[in-house]
Amino acid sequence: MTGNNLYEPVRGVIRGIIEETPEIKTFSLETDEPVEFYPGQFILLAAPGTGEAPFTPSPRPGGEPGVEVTVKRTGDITGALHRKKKGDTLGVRGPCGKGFPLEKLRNREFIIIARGRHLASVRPLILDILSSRDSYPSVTLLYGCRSPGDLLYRTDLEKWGEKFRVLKTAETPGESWNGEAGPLPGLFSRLSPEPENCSAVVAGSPEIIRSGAGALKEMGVDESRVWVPVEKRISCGFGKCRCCLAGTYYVCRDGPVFPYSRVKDLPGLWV
Amino acid sequence: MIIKKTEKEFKELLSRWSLENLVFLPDTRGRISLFEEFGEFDLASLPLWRGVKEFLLPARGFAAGGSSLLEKPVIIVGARSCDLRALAGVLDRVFLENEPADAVYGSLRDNLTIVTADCASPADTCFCIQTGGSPYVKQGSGINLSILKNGEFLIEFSGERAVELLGDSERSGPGPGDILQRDNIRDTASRKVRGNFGVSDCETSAGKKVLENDAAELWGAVSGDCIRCGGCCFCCPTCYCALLNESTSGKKFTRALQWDSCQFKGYASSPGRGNPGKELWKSFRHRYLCKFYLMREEFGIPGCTGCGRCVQVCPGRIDMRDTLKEIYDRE
Ligand SMILES: Cc1cc2nc3c(=O)[nH]c(=O)nc-3n(C[C@H](O)[C@H](O)[C@H](O)COP(=O)(O)OP(=O)(O)OC[C@H]3O[C@@H](n4cnc5c(N)ncnc54)[C@H](O)[C@@H]3O)c2cc1C
Ligand code: SF4
Ligand code: SF4
Ligand code: FES
Repeated sequence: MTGNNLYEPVRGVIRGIIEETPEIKTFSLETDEPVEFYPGQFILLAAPGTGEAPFTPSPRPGGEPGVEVTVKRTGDITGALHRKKKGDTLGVRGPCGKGFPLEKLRNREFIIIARGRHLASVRPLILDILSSRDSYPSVTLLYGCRSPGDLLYRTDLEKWGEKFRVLKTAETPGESWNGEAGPLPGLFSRLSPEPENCSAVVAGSPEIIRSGAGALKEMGVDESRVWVPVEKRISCGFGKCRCCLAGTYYVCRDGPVFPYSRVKDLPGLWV
Repeated sequence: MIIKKTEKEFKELLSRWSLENLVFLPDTRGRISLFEEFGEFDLASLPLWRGVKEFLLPARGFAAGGSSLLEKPVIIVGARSCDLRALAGVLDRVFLENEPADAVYGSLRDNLTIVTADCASPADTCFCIQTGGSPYVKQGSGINLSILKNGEFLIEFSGERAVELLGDSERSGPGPGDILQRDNIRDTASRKVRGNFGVSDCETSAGKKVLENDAAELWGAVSGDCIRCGGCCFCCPTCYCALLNESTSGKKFTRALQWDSCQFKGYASSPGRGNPGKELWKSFRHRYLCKFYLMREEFGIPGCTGCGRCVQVCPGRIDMRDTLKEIYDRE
């Protein structure tokens, strides 16, 4: 935000673009002002003249000022963002929301379940794990994608696999695929958590969130320790417009990550 | 402190205020207009069109800092108890108290002085008491006007700004019996409001009723005449749903909140996450749920102050009280 105006963005100049998959790009943005965020918070990224939408920021490598944002092309704004080139300017607002309660996730067994582009929502958390590895005694990441071509952060995933347990699966695996085959829920049986001492994050479509949280519950992991990123229409980002309301919670202000127990029964949230 | 002024003295006071302030008050059409331009006023008409909300959150937003309302201090004279309740109980909470504060709203709010007025003759559509208010301000007004039967004004005031505006004016206190007369007028007004709507504990009981009743059949029946115009939200003193829009001025893009309405079909929808208001009855129920349950949970008061504006504007002639009665009758 510029000065005190919550709604005016700061400038973010695109310094690098990684084509992760045919539909997903990661933008490295240098911002006019530092954007200091916490894993799980979100920012609003604007393609000037088209509009803005919420995305999950990660730090730029090497601690350079600015943010990295992974964007899947799905419509107007994401389409406009995908057409941007190195050197182009975007608008950045935020950070917004609360983010993951790291103190509740650290020093216990930790399971991350993510599908498709939603791995972007947990990437900052994974970077926290890597930078304070001792705080996370046991980590397992289950990741699912459609096909090998849709694999996100492919080089990172290899490196992460050296630091903690990573299982990946593709729904339609090809010849060269070195992971598992089939839909992500097929991997749930590979988990054997110590329920009392385990926290988890499930990121994905409502179906994935429901099935992931459901599987963990069957394994005895309390729903209040399963954190889920919730996506609702976001406009102001700061609790001033009510468009993200889910029950009595504002997703932008009280979320976007919530304990599953708190949001699972909210009417209309998972439509 | 309470002082008394004749109508002539009161007009002189307004003229004096107009020298250094933008003074708005209800004109003879019941719209809040600039005193300087209109010169006449009618503090009896109800409800007031162009609510206080529009001075802080205009329909199409202010481009950052670009409001002509900031050129001089603004005084709104004749706002009602229901307006003040919406302002202090909801809007100020959202835009000032909830972090981070909205600086644009903050600068407009700082610049605004509200002079409230008792409602001597509430409209047939007023039901402020049933939602927890009253037709006169009980607390929180810096300056309050009560009009006596002979047209004289009792002005009750406290606080720095009030003293600044009234401090050096002729100070004649209320005469014998004036306070009693004011209280009688207030009692009569309250009786009138009580007679306007039979559900006396709407404030505390309506939320649960709406929450518990989610039958498509019931809501379908009461929403049949709604055309989703959004008028009920736009005129409501507590509604602040908005979308942040971008506009271009020259080469610059600016942002401003523009009014949105939960009665619109695409409200809060996103292609990725569906459309909660696809069905009319759901949108319609949402408004009642929001006002009587969600807002009450959040702000401690319902999001309906009983001002009756939505009853007056609805092209489908939908009266919120009829809807509520319908729900209460389904036991
Ligand atoms: C907190 C949060 C974090 C997110 N993080 C990421 C991320 O890191 N990477 C990523 O690729 N995507 C992320 N998304 C989803 C992303 O915001 C949507 O894909 C994007 O808004 C689509 O916009 P569009 O204009 O291209 O699509 P359109 O289909 O043209 O959308 C039109 C409107 O609907 C809204 N909308 C569409 N889909 C969604 C959605 N899933 N959630 C909320 N609003 C939506 C848009 O904002 C826009 O206002 C996140 C969403 C939220 C709420
Ligand atoms: S004013 Fe009446 S017709 Fe218009 S949206 Fe409200 S209830 Fe529906
Ligand atoms: S819901 Fe209707 S009666 Fe209640 S405060 Fe809003 S406009 Fe007034
Ligand atoms: S996005 Fe405006 S209140 Fe949450």
